Amino acid sequence: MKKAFEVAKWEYLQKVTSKEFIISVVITPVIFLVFSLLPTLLADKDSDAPKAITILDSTGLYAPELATKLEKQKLDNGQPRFVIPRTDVAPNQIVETKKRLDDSVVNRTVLEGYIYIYDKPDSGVQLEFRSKSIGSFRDLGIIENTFNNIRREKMLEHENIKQSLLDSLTKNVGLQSVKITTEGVEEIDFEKQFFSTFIIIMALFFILMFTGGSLVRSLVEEKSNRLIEIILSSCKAEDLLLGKVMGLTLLVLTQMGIWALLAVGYAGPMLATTSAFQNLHIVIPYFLLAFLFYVSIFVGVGSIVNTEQEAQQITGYLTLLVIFPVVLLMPIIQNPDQELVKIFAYIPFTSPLVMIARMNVVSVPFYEHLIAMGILLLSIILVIKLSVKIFRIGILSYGKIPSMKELMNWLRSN
Amino acid sequence: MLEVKNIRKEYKNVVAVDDVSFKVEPGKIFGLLGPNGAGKTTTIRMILDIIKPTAGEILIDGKQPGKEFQKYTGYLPEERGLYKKSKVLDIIKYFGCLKGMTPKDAENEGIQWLKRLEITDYKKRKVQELSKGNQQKIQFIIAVVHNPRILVLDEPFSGFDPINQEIVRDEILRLKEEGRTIILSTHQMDMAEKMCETIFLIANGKEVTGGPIKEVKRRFGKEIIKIEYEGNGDFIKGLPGVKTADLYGNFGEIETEDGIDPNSVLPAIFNGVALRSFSIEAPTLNRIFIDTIKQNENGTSSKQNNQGATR
Repeated sequence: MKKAFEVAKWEYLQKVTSKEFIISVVITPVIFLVFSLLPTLLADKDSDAPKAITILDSTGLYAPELATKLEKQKLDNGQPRFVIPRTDVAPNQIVETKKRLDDSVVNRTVLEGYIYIYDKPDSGVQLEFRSKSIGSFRDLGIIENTFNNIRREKMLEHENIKQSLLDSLTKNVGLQSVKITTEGVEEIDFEKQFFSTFIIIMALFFILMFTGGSLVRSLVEEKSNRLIEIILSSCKAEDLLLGKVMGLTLLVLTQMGIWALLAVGYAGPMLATTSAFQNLHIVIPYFLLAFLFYVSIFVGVGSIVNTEQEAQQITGYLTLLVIFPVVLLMPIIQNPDQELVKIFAYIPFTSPLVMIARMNVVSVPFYEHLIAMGILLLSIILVIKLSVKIFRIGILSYGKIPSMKELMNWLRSN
Repeated sequence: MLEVKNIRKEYKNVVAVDDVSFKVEPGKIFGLLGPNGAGKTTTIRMILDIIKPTAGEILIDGKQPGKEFQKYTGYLPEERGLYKKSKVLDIIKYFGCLKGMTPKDAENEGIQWLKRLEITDYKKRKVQELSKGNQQKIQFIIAVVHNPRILVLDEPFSGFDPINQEIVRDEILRLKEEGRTIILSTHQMDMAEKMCETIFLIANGKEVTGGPIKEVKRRFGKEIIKIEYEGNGDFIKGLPGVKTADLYGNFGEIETEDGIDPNSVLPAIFNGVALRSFSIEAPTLNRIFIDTIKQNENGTSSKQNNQGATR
């Protein structure tokens, strides 16, 4: 056991000062931020200059009011959103004017596009925004809402309905989802739940990609330069394996610690409201158990490969296994107590993430956590036992990757 | 005293080592020799407790080595390599600690060894900045830093230039004088001949010959006449009692037939060529190695042929 600590100390100190580690600590959150924030940032980004549009109204009912109301809309920087030159068009000139407007839009004059309002015999009034590009979602949304409000008001006015009634009629009532737990009630924000679970899975995935990869690489290195023989002439294979797992676990705790500090520093109050973070006392054990489970598999499997390429292939497949629960995430959140979901909650490969996901949407009884963690713990012990067997032989065999049959023989041997 | 008793290692389809026994005394250098794939590495791994023998045992001073056994062994593998990105002294400390030293002791001993091998300047450097020869010195230090009683050196001289070979050789001899048990595995027969008191020749997992070098040579028997001469020596091949004659123009090695005294053919050679010098010598270890291994191979293959014939 003392030897295992020596190995753990060495693995930890060598890795924690390595460039790879420092890069992964910095790069991973950056990639995370870019992936999650950039699209929304770009989509939400408002244009910074007013758009020149015009209105062609073949019904003759909406144009003036729509123009006035649209001109009151402001951009984020305070400038008016639209500039709308008024043009009176005689009903018999509609077709001609439309052609002329189409022309000037296509030929890139100052005119960005125009709103075309017309009646269709079967389906009533129609609204089109005709421009060269499809236009920004925000602009389209504003035009649509403004038009519909005017139209609704006009119709209700026509039926002699009072403004106050009108206001209360047009107000939308939102549906709020509330989760009842033994400690009380809390509101659920579906998106928040989804993403907080998603972030945990992604964090595990990235950590395993990094540590699993570096673990297998270091085994390949030690194997190919025969350092492994010096090490094994100094300590038992079990000590080496245990030491490596301990060193890596410590490394990951360091990494998570740094990220946690960063996260709390940047977004503490925001994070605190998501239940994934409120349940940290259960999430962290699951996270560590999942990590130990996968790393133990990595060590066993890593000991049979001989080259960098084989190592990459194998870590690739293994990390796929880690990311698999993402597929289950939607159904779990929508239906956390479904039979199939419950089965996955007890299978060690998926159990930690399924449980974390379920826990965020329903209150999972404590005994279920105990059972899941118990199964996970037993599987870790089993996997380590099997891995040690493979490791002991695999680490000293060179040449081709052993076949399934050979592996079974190794497992049976002492 | 290290005693290897009837060890055998079987893998699924192959017997890598078959009933091998030998003793290695402290203060002596023991040569473990054999062609590639003979079972040397497997034997070494069993001695170092990296793998367990299928049968047989390894004893130290007549006793089964206990849990602490690995503390007393040091190993320099044939293929060399280190953690490229780590610092020299850190690596030495790590391996010293793995062998049970305290970090402090490991550091002090490590510095002593760096001095002995004349590479003190590199202690804070990363391994990848060192020349190949210096990296090998670090590996040598890793094998000896914890004062092992039993030291296994696999091709310790390969990759060293003549100057460094001398430095390492002197250190090995010093360790021998200190009473360590040293097992030297090598293909450099001249080196083995000069350094080892006892040898063990292994082929196909089995002992071929072994014992103190003088005894092995005596058992091999055939003495060789070495001559330097001028003139045409072709007639020597036809002399009665001569088995083989390797003639190089002005140098020759002559082997007599079994039971013929080398001295008895010398007069005839005297008469035929102008001799500059002559000597009658015991066979070199190299000769013994080649002849014995070849004989052994012929023996096994003819045996197989016989089996084929009777079937």
